[in-house]
Amino acid sequence: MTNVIETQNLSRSFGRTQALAGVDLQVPEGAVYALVGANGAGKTTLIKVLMNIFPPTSGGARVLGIDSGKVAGKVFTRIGYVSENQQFPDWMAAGEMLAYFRGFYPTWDRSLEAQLVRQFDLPLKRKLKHLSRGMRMKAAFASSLAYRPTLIVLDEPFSGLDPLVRDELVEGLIERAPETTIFLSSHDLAEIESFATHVGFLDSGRLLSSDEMSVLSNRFRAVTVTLAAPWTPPSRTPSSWLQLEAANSVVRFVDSNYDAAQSAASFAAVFPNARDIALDPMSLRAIFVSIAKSKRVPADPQPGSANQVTERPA
Amino acid sequence: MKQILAIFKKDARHLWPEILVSFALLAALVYVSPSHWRSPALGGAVSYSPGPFFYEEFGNLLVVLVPISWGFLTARLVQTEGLVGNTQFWITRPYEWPKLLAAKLLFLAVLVCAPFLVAQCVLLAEAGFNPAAYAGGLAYNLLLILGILFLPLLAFSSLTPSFAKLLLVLLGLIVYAVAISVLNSVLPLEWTNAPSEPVGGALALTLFLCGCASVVFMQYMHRRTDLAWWLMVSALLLFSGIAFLAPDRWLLNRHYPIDASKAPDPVGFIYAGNGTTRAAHADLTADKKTLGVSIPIAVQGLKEGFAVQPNALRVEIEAPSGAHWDSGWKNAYGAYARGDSPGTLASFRIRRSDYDRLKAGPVNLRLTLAFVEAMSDGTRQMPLPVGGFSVPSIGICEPLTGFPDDPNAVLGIQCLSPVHSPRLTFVTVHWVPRDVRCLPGGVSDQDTILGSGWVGDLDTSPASFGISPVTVSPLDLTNNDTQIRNPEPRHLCAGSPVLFTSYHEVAGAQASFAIENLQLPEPSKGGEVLAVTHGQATR
Repeated sequence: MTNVIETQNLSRSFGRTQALAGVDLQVPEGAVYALVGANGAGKTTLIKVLMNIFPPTSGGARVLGIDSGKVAGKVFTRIGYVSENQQFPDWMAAGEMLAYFRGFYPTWDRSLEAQLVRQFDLPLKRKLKHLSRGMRMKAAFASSLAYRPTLIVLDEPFSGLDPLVRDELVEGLIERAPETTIFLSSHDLAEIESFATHVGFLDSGRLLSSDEMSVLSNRFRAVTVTLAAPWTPPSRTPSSWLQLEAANSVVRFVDSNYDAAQSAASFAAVFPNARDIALDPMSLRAIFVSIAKSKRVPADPQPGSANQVTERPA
Repeated sequence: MKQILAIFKKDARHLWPEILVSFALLAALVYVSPSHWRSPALGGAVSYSPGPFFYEEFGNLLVVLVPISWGFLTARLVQTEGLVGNTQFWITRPYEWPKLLAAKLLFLAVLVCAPFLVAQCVLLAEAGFNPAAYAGGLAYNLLLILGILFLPLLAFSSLTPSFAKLLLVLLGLIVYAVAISVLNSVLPLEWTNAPSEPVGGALALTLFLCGCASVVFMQYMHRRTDLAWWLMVSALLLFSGIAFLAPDRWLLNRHYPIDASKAPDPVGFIYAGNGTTRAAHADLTADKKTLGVSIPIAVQGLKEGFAVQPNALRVEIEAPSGAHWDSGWKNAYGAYARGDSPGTLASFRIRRSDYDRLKAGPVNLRLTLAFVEAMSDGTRQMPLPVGGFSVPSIGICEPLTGFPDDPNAVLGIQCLSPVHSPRLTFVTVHWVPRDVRCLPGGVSDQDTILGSGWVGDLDTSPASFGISPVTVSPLDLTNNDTQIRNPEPRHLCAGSPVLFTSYHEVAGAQASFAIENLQLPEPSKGGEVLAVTHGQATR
């Protein structure tokens, strides 16, 4: 499978601020890749570098096989880009905007345009500046989907929208998913979980993980160990155990590299007197929180805390 | 082309109010302008007074408002697809930058330049000229307007995200210009180079416009606003820096290459101070720190049929104490002179402290003048008609009539020139006292007083930069009244001879002469000659 987006050691700085630091990312063709991360993690910067809005400081990126520095003009006939803070020609009516963009795309599908207008219930004669935020986003989606782009890039598309509008947009996206590759950044993890095939976690400009959704779900387990007696932490625990907490005879942690056989052996080695070990699958949100929090562990942990003995994943 | 047209149509639809305003102002200019130059007298009516005050003032206002409306339209046009920022819709759409730029230029061509050309043709026709005969001049003027008005505005609009920010930048430019002007007045006079026109000025303008063009291309190609700003600031600094740092000697030597004294028939200047009536004098300027010194000079060795105009001068003063002062090249603002012309003044500024140091005793002063020499194309003599008449070097001239009791009496002559200011022409007329009645056959020579004047310039470019294609030149003729001693005005009579002698530039040259043992005069507070100076001129 070819990669629609590829980055190699991609970095971007703004003055002394390092927004992206050596990001290596691959988005395979046909994927719905969700890029998640806290505010200021570098998601928008990464997307803007991919869209050639910002040049990279070092490293490189390829989009649809083209160097990101050359993503311009006709290349955008194959890319649909929607961003939460995009400025549109507000003086145009929604219908005027669609009619205007129509001439720019050889693959513009009038029937799909009509379908999207119906689906999103777009008021074609109303000026964009008079539309609600949700309606404007719908108009942006319609104008970016109607030409059946090979790659759809969405920067926080659901931010600040009510659930109804989100559902409509997600529905519109899911319908396009089989024929395109979608790369989106979002805070709305629950929404993404329903349709993303791949997830990447970006933190402080670094890509902490990038996996297929199913692999990620299988890899993370919330582990609760009930012991016969209060637990004394050993000097070392596996580095894949995140957020290790012990309270009396109950130990909780997240196994970020769960494998039934290997993990069972690790549990037995660390908890030889375990009375019960509960393994729960985790939601994308819980996985994101555990990864994000584990990155925020104080550099100098308090003596006696579980984190003191936890080795970080490499 | 499809994309260009789509963007063009979108912009035209979006900016229709601005387009409408610029059309309305242009139409008003076309309607009002003729009232400036076609006073009732010129139409053969009864008065030589200008049109109604409102038309006059409104016409002047329109000459300013029309370019402002274009400027506003241009800024809005560029910023519709803004080049600054990273959230504009169009940067992630299949826009191709050459087509975007072409669409913007097409807009300017169709909705600004074409209406402007039409307006110019209408005005030319209204003034009595055939517009087709001046197509080259009209195109050249349009090119100048595009370059001088539109290009800098395109550049600054491409560097700013909104019209408000553009206004702030323009305000900053005004502050910068004021600061430069203040700096110019503070710096020692000999540090600044004044003869920026036409040599340094053209060079500075060309470099600045090249900078503007580069900014526009850089922004449309790469949208690298930070780099483009650096380029713009560099162009501006270069533009203003040339005023101080231009290699004036090199530029002057290129433009005025001939040492007149080495020519077979040398043309030169001499000191023309001859006592109390014509003496060098020094006036304190308003700041009291500098003096304006004027030295009477006259042209010498100029053959018949030739004229000269001093454009730049350089003054070197040597005091017996060994003190030396050099003005560097400065603008001369000299009047045209023929061999039979009375002398003129060579004026320069000097710091009061320098002047006081030098004037302790007689000094040796060397004056070098850079001048152009012009040769006559011939003289055309005609009896002054009552109605309009054509003068090849000028255009259409009209005698200003208007005396109900004397229809043949003419108060003066006003000329209209198409596209360009008139070619340099020396006009000679014969005035008669007001109490002499004009007869249909003219008046006898014994009753007349000779009057003369220069009109036009030696510029050979196809057109003069301007919003109106018609230049109005009232002929400023000497002896049109007897001034203080006899306030009674004079007039011309229809049928009296009028001579038009046109000139063309032959060469630029330099000439110098020295005045030895010149006693620099005591400074006066303004114009009054306080001391008679004497000196002996040598070439």
